[in-house]
Amino acid sequence: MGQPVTFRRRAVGEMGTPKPAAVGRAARRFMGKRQWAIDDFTPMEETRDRARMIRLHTLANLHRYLGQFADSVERNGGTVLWAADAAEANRLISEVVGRKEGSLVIKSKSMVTEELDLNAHLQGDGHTVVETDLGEFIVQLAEDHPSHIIAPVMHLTRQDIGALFHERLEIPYTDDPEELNAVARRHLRRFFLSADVGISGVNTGIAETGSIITVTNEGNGWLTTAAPRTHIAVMGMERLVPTFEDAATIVEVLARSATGQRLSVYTNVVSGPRRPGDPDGPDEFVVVIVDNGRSRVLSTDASEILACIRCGACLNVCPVFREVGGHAYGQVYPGPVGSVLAPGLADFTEAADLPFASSLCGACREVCPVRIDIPKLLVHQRVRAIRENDPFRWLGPGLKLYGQAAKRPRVWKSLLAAGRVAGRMKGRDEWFHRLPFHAKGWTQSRDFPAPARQSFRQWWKENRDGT
Amino acid sequence: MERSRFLGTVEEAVGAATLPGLPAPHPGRAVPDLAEVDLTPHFIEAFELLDGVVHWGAALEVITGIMTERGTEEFLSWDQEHLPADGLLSALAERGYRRISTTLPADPEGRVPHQMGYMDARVGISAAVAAFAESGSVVVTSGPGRSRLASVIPAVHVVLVPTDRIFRSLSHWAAQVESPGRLANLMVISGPSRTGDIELTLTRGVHGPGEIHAVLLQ
Repeated sequence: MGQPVTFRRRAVGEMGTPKPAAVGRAARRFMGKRQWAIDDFTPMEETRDRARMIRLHTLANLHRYLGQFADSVERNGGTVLWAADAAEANRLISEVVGRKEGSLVIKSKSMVTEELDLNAHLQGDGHTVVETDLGEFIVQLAEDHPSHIIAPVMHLTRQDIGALFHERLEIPYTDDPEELNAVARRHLRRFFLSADVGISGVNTGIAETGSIITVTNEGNGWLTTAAPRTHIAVMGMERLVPTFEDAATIVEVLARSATGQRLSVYTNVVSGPRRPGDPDGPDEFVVVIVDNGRSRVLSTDASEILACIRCGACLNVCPVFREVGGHAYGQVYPGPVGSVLAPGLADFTEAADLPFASSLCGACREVCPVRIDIPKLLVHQRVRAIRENDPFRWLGPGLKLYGQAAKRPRVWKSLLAAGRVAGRMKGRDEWFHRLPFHAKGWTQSRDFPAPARQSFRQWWKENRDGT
Repeated sequence: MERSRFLGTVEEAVGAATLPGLPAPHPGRAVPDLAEVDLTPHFIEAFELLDGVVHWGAALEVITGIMTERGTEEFLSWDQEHLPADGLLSALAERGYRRISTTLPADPEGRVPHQMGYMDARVGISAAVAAFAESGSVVVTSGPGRSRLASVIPAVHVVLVPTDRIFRSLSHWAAQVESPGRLANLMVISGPSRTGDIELTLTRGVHGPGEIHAVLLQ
């Protein structure tokens, strides 16, 4: 059995720290910017419908489009590798990187490589790995984990980052974002120009042309795919569309939904290694297509979640995410999308409590650019969690006990008296966070009020005369 | 894993999938809005909204002005035949400006030393094969004589934009461009490099150019 209280434990640890406050502020600002972009002249609602149809169509024919994609990549002079799980993906990537000993690897932000824990694997093999997205670079310096799929260091303040740069990069302390930015630019530039291998994720692959698209605002995605001799693109197997025109629709919707831009600053379309006559670009282009639980998710009630284009909007609107921040979820993909996806990708019991970390308010469904019915999928995952790992086992016996006690006034009174004693021992806190025996199921996901110091019966005895 | 085994697993999963709206048809080609609009003012507005700087014609004066301001005499550039401003590179050479070669040496071992020569490049010159009015974007591509790093490495990117290459939007252009997979790289650039990673405070030029100048040519 897994640990059904892990989300709760992590969440309680995170709440009340400055982290969720920073996350809440940032998440609200994201939403403000998003509104601005939706007010412009693209027919946003129609485009969302198109994007949804494109994604669902691709998933319903995924094996065919993957085959076509691989053929196209090979036609362009690239190589395709197939990885059933994280271990295989890491081994395949290591083989490509490891042709040269002690390679310098630069990475642009990729959630799938977080999922594989690729950096640790490559470092274990003696390679140097440098994250180049500013947020991911900060995460790497801090030996931390990203807390948001679009803004990885949403949980750190500028003072945190200033102190970190001061300590790790040995520069005078500053918390001015412009200066911190300039420091990172200088520091990372030589890595870009001298790296042996660039590893990118894939926002969208294109079956017809064998292209992969990376989307960044900083330009690190472009540099990672343009400067090193070898470019490895790591792609979750569902991140595909049929045509270039379809990809254009997806990136237009993605940019508006993620950050309120009409397009991200750099929409980078890579179709194979450099061609004869090209003055620069990689000599070698390798796409690693990763399953790692995705075919399992596709074959369940939650298949629709694979239509996700990873914009992060559902995180920003989620009242639970805003309160607890990304780390409380304990998974690579936090927030509403992660609560559906993680239990499918990971060993189910490991994340079985996440579908319950939602009030099912529906804000995520409203905001989703491809209209995924996330609350419905959360309920599907809850059903599965109960079937496979019944966290409500206590309910039947618990209610039976309650019934027995409630029918016997003496037993009932003595139980209440015991509760009051326990309540008094707790001091000022008016809530029980853990109840014993069969009642413990109640406090796995909520608190229980401590009884009043004086019972109503006592109070009535003392006050019945109205004096 | 073998391709056929991988795809076999996916096909089985597709068979068991519970997707809404099955059989999930493709939406078909988008119907383009072909209304005749002068897109140039829209492009300028969108480009400036992103903090891009717009110039009309006179590429040589614009570039020499930037070089003086930046205190540099070196630049990266595409070959002259791909720049829609005749004689631009020879005019720059005549004024004493030096173009850093962007052609990698034939020996793969020479790549890194060659690229390290771009460390201090401050100005890069290229041209737009397309531009988008809606998003203020310019498109640059790879190809013979067209370096990718010329547009992304320097602190300032100067891009020449013939106004007849301005399209309504990326998806409009995507619907009519022929075989986009033919070129190894196609880059849609929308404004200067930026990040909001530190407390969502907008800062420019984190990795790509912090300034982008469009020189419009009729």
